[in-house]
Order: sequence, then C-alpha cells, then structure tokens
Amino acid sequence: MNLSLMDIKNISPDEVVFWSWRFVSINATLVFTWGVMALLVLISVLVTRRLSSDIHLSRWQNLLEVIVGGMRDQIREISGGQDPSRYLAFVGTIFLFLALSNFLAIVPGFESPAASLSTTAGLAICVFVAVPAYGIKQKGVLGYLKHYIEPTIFMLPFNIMGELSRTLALAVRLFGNVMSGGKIVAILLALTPLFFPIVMQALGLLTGMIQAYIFPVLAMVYIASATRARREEETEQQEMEKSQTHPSHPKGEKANG
Amino acid sequence: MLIDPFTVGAQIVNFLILVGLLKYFLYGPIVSAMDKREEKIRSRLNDAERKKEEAESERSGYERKRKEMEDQREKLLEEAKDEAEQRRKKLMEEAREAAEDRRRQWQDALEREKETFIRELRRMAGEEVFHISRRTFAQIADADVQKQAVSVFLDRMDGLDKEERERFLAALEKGENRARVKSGFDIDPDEQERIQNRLKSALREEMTVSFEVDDMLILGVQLSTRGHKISWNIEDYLSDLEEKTREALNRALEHAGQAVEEEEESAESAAESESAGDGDGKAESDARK
Repeated sequence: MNLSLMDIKNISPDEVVFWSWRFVSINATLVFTWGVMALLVLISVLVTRRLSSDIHLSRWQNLLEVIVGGMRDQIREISGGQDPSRYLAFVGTIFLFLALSNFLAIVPGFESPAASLSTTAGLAICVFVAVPAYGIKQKGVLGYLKHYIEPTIFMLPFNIMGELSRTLALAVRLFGNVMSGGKIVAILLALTPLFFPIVMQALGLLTGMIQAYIFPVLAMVYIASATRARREEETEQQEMEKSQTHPSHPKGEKANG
Repeated sequence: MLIDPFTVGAQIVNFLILVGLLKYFLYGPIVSAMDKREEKIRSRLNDAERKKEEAESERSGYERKRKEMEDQREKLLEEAKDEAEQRRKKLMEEAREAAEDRRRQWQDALEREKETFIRELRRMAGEEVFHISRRTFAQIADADVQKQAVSVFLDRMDGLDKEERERFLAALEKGENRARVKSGFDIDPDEQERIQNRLKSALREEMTVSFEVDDMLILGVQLSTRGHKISWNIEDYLSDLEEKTREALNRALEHAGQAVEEEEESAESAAESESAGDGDGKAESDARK
C-alpha cells in the first residue's frame, strides 16, 4: 500500500492535481497549505481563547509564549535591537508555517508545501516585496533607494542583481532541501524498506527545521539591512527614551504593536 | 515546469491570509498577555517592595518602642531597687532601734530586778542574820559575850585615829557635849559606869553620856552625838556583807549583759558595748581601789 500521493517521478506536489478549471488548479500543495494554515489557526484559537495574564497559565499557552517569545528575541537580536513587534507577524508566520509543514512531513502521505518551488517562490516574492516595503516605511522612498547607490553609484547594478539573486536563492535553497529530503526517503524506501529510511526521515526532519529557521532569519537579515541606516538613529532615540522611562520597557513597542 | 504561476499567486495569498489570521489569533493575544503579565509582576514586585519598606519602617518603629519600654522597665526596676534599699535600711534601723529598746528595757528590768533582789537579799540576810544572831545570842548570850562586845567597842574607841577623833569631838562640841550610847542589849549600871569613864577619858571629861537600848543593833554598841556616830555592831558586818554581795551580783550581771551584747550583729554596737565594757571595767577597778 502506497500512502504517498506522489510517486518517485513527481518532483513537486504541484504535479498532483485534484481539480482543474482553465488555469485554476487545486493541487496537493494548496491542499496541504490549507491544512497547515487550518491547524495553525485552530491551535491559536483554542489556546488564546482562554488566555491568562496571571502567573498561572496553561501548558499550551506556555508553549506558545515560549515560541513567540523566542521569535521576538531572535528578531530583536538580528535587527540589532529594533522593536520586534512590527516584524513578528511577517517573519514569525514564515517560521511557523515552514516549521509545521516540515514537521508534518514525517506523517505518512503528507507532503510539505515547502517541497513545491511554487510555495518557496511565493514566500521569496513576499520577502522580495517586504524588504523594500519595510525600508521605505522606515527611511522614506529616497532614503531607501539611496542604499542602492552606496557606497558609489557604480554599485547600483550589483545591488539590484544581489537583490534578485538572493530572492532566487531563498526560494531554491528551501525547495531543494525539503524536496531532496522527501525524495531521499522515497528512494531509500524502495532500496532498504526497514530502519534506514527512519534515520533518513529523522535527518529530513532536522534539515526541514533548519530550513524553516534559515528562511525567516535570512528574511529578517535582509529587512534589517534595508532598515539599518534608520536603525542607528533609532537606537540613539531608544537609548534616550530608555534613560527617561523604564529601562526594560521601550515605549515604541506598544505604540507599534 | 516546476513553478506553477497560479499556485505561486495562491500561496502568496495564502501566506498573507495566514499572516493576518495569526496576527489576530496568535501574536496579538499572546504578546498582550505576556505584556500584561510582565506589568502585573512588576506591579506586584513594586507592591512587595513597598510592603517590605512599610514592614521595615513598622519593624523599626516597634523596635524603637520595645527599646523605650526596655529603658522604662530598667528605670522602674532601678527605682524599685532604690526604694527597696531605702525601705530595707529603714526597717533595719527600726529593727535595730526596737532591739536596742528591748535591750534597754531588759537591762532596766534586770537592774530593777537586781535592785529588788538586793533589797530583798539584804532584808532577808539582815533578818536571817538577825534571826540567827538572835537565836545564837539567845542561846549563848550571857554577860560575858555582852561584856566582850562592850570591850570590843571600847577598844575601838581607843583605837580611833586622829582624824576621826577630831571630827567626833567637833560634833560633840555642837551637840553641847551630850552623847548617847545605844546598844542591842541592856547594859548593867556597873558596866555603864565603866563605859562612861572610859569615854570621858578617851574623849572629853565634860561630856554626858546617856544609855539606850535598840534592838536593831543586836549585838552592837554605838556612840552617837549630833550628826556623828562611832559604832561597832553586827550591822557593820551586815553592811559589809551587803556591799560584797552587791559587788558579786554586779559582776555576774555585767557578764550576762556582755553576752547579750555580743549576740547583736552590728559591729558598731559591738564596738560600743566593748568601749562601754571597758568603761565599766575601769569604773569597777576604780571602785575597787
């Protein structure tokens, strides 16, 4: 019995199409994506329905708080001390979506949506758009565009190429890793059906988690570099605010949340 | 073709929807809950800090109060001690005075008793001696004894020293040369004659002598003139006996008094009694001299 929807020849879950009308096709990628989305939202709703702001809290809330708190810390660290709230939704969602997708890859029959180049490309395009969006929001249009001609105007083509290539790299890196992990398991299953595929599946889980971590971190790095010039001023501003208000509670966090 | 344009678009839309949903259902509530908790913990910590400070100030207040009470207690105790000391001294003084009083009273009583005893003794001794003498003399008193008494008296008259003689003569002068011889027994006229002659020769020729019997003299003879008398009688010996008895009694009482004084604790009074004893001793020795 073959639980997998894909056979060895199918590289991407896009190729498993359930329903199609003209250019609209509902394939496995979309179905699994919806599944992951539904699971994430369901967990969130169930847990946040009975939130406690007291010292005693449920285990699920504690888990989510640990995850969200960890993401906030990572973002703050990478962005050089910026307020994590404005990036949390975007970067955090990438992480949670990829992490859950890659985690569920150990479920027989489930194909991670990240194994589809369409998904990774879509996410990369989002990052490609988000980077200048955050940059412009922070520094204004001219301020953002200025960083393309730094240090000299001759760097302009290289900067543009770099922008494009790193987006492509994001998409392909994630796709390649996740897809190959799945394929290796499928191939090994054909060769040595016992024990060894499990080891490879564990390895695939590790790779998937690492990729789920790398993708949002890189996204954050790009965003941080786009907002860097602004950040230095802001750091000064924040330090001034800190000296005036409570040290561990910057004012900007709530205003922007 | 690995990339399906529709899927890419759909995934972008999916992703944006997911961002919105998670922001609404996850990040917002969780972050606000965390912030609220942080705020609550901070306020609790502040509260605890405030309460700690309050407790600290209260503690120091109590500490101060306790110290004050301790001081007051100390003071009261000191006062009570002083008062007790004073009271003790006063009571001691009173007790000493009372003891002194009692001692004095006792001594007075003893003195009185001694006096009474001596008087009684003297009386009894006198009576007894008188009685004995009487009896003895009643049994042995014959003329010879009486004569012997008279002759002893007369010997005494002869043996008068100069001073006594002068004094008696002076008294005789004042008494118009009248003298009287008292005796405890009848003197027969011959004897009277003899006495008269002996007196006249011993003292003065011009004197007149009358004779009289006085039982109190017992076996004695007494020559008296105005304000002066020379006698030999048992009474003298009795007086001597009485003096000696009194002396002996005094000595015994003194010893008893010293023993009582030694019992007293006060060194001062002991010293006093010692000095008093010395004084008595001196007086006594003086008296002996």
